[in-house]
Amino acid sequence: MSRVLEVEDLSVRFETDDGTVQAVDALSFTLDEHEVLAVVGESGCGKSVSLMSLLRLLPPSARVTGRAEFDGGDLLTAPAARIRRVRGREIAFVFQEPMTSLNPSFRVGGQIAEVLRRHLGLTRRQAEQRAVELLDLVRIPAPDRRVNEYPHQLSGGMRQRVMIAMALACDPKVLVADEPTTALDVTIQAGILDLMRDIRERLGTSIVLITHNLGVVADIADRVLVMYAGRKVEEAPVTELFARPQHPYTVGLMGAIPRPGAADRQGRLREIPGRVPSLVGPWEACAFAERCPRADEKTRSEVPALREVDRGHVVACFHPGPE
Amino acid sequence: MSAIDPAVSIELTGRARRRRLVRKRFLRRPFAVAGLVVAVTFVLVAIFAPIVAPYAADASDYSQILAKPSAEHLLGTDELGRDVFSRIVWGSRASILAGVFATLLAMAIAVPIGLVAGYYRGWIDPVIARLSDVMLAFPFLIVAVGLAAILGPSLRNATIALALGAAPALIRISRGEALSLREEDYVRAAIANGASDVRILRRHVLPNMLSTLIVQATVTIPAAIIGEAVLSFLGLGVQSPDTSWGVMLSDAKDYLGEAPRLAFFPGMAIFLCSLSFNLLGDGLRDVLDPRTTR
Amino acid sequence: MNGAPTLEVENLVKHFRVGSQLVGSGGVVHAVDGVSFSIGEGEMLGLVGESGSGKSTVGNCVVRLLEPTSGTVRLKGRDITHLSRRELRPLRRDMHIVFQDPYSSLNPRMTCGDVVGEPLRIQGLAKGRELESNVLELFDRVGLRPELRHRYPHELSGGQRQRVGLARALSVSPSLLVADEPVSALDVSVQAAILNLMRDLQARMGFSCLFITHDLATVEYLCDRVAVMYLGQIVELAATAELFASPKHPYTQALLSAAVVPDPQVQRTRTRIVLEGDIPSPLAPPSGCRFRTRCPLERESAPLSHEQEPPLVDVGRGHFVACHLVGSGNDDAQLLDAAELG
Repeated sequence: MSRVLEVEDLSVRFETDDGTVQAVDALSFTLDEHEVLAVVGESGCGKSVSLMSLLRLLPPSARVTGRAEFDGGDLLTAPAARIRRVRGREIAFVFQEPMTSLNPSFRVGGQIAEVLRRHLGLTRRQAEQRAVELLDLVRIPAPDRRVNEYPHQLSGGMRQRVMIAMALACDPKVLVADEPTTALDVTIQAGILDLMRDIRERLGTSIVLITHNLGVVADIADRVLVMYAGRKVEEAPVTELFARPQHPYTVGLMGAIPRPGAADRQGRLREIPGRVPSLVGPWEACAFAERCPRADEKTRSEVPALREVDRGHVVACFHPGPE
Repeated sequence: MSAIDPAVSIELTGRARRRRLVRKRFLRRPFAVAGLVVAVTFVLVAIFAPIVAPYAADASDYSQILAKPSAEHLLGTDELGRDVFSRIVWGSRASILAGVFATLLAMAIAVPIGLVAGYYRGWIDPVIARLSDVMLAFPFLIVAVGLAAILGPSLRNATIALALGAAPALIRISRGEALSLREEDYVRAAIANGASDVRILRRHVLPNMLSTLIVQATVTIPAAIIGEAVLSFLGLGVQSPDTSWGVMLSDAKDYLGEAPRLAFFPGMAIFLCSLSFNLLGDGLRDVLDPRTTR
Repeated sequence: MNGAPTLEVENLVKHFRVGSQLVGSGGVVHAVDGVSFSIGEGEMLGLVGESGSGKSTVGNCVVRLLEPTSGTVRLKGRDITHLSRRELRPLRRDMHIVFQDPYSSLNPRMTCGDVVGEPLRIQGLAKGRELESNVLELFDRVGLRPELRHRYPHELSGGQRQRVGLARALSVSPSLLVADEPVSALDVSVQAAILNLMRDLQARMGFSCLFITHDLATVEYLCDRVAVMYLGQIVELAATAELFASPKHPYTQALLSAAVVPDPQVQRTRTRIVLEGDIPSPLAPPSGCRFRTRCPLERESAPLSHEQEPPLVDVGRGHFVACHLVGSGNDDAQLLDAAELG
């Protein structure tokens, strides 16, 4: 299984009126072929920002440092022309809101065809035909009819499938899906997750799945990366992470979700007190310290480094462990 | 999330804190501050015209016709030997009065109507919409001419005409605001509390329309100032011996070759006065929105 | 009114007219089409459904933010279906609602203290010093620091805003609280805190609650009974444990199956039911059984399911199902084994 993407020490900083916001701090991760990597965290943890920084999709006030090895070169220092070729063609994005990601004034088929003509240089006829094939690939029924419809004529789930079709149009190596099912109904979400699994198998596309939903992670991910306040706090293969979470934040997240079928209704959900800290200013302490039940002098004065606790399982914590 | 100073929050109550915040934010915006300063200057000049103006508006000095600016006459004199600077000062009264009162009158008419149309909808909404369309169809100029014909030309009638001209747009805006605000969850919560319509409009809808209305007012004022200048230029507004910038422009048109400054100075006054209100309005809108973070 | 359930809803129907009021181009949205249930004192009923199910509309009708097209709503025995606003006002003290969006449910121009105190003020239940102390007590009860009552909503986090919303709703000690997706817009870790809070408050204050959500796991954690809605109708209604142990309607089973479980071993090995197609539009619900266009068992239920709406039938133990394949003899519509639901 060869390596597709290797990110080292990625940091993203924003200059704001309140000071420098460190949205992502020294993040490193890898992605192999056929692999589904889930990046998990709540709002403001930097999961979206980190992926978007790879393709320069951030506003100009962002300062990005680090290295992102992809296809023989570093994405972060590549010339603009290269990035334009990578975007949509080798690394494709699918966003959360299918409602606003599609242009309401153009037919769905035309929007897919546009991608094909821009990146692969297909003729109009070829592109339209391929668009129908792609709609079929994402399991939209009657694709030859749907290809001529406008976005508002499609349901939310359908639109998301169209977005996935557009993303897959050029057979990218990496598909980055940013909360792809959050805005969708549960039964529709199941269909999309099924589709993504299918894509991974049939096309061999690597998938980076950004989400806050641990259930989705359990369904489809191979490896999981947990982020908090811009940093990676834990990473492990999926079964390992759910069986033996080590970081108190991960433990807290898992305990916060009501599980269907859990017999014990008497038990309370685990709460994580406090809220996400402001990302302003350099950190001299563990970012999670003020909310952590295991906090002590050490965590309040030092930043924990990532340490391997088991094969493939790393944690950034001075007191890792299940409880 | 904006940084909150804990020391401050403990001592002051909500209202005082808010005033402080608003003041601080406003001061961070140089254009708004400049707008405020200039607008206030114009208003003060208008109020204190007798003190500021060295000469009376119609004091003629036939020995100094069309004189260039000098120590005696800061901006020169016009074709009748009247001090241009003084006339600008005296003229500001008409402009500010017309500008401010026309706007206030327009809002007094438009806001309640728009509010009712947008909040209640039903049958009253299309009726009001059609009525305001009818009003829109009459350019304020025609209304002014009509009023002048019936009641005689005067600053007061010009102001009324301007107000009627500005009202339809304001009705539309306040209707739009009321319409979108009534869908907000906090309005629904108030209904669920059993609040009366009056209370909802007063406590929940109007305050949240405030910043939009203030901006609209500060944008309407310059339009009214210019409108007054137009009407006075045409002789439908201020009548002699009072003067206004529009009247000055009208007088100046015959002397554009010899003394373009006679048009330039009142023109600049109109420009600066209206611009300052615009900038002030922009700044106020930003600053009054509690969601602004700086 | 002893004995009368806190809330009784009978054959509630709510239709919306859309499109032009004039010649023919309008349509009718069948948001709610014949919903009946009741909630006893101190009971929490979960109302579950996806988009287009009409669950929020039911909530709005119950608190009379909307007037039902037909049917009845009774609050503690009193028929409130078509009361005027003036007549409703004193009754509004007894029922309240918490909204989903913590950002738009609080007036940005009022301090949080004012927001929480408003119902008391409107209902004339307290003023001045007494009001102030009531507000303080409410803040404490929902776990908010007292200083926050001078702050404005935008200065608080989403979770804190929802607490303010809860405090406002409970300030008048209502008998009925309608919670419309109260945690859906919050981060996961914050959701837990609010759910725990609601549980505690309900245990302490004893109000009845209609809990509207799309998330089955939350319902299982909080509610005594559950009603599942699809396209404006209730398709299944049962005690929580019973519904999760033995769901009978194919839609309920599909919903349970689709709900992702945060446990990879379970999630990846359980049987999945993936429904084909989209949720039909409430502008044109399918004839007969509304679920038939997506029902995996449609072939077995046809042609009856095309012609007749299945009635809600009691299959015992207070368990109601609306499915042609489920009679009162306790048959399951065998889509899958309940044990496989994880």
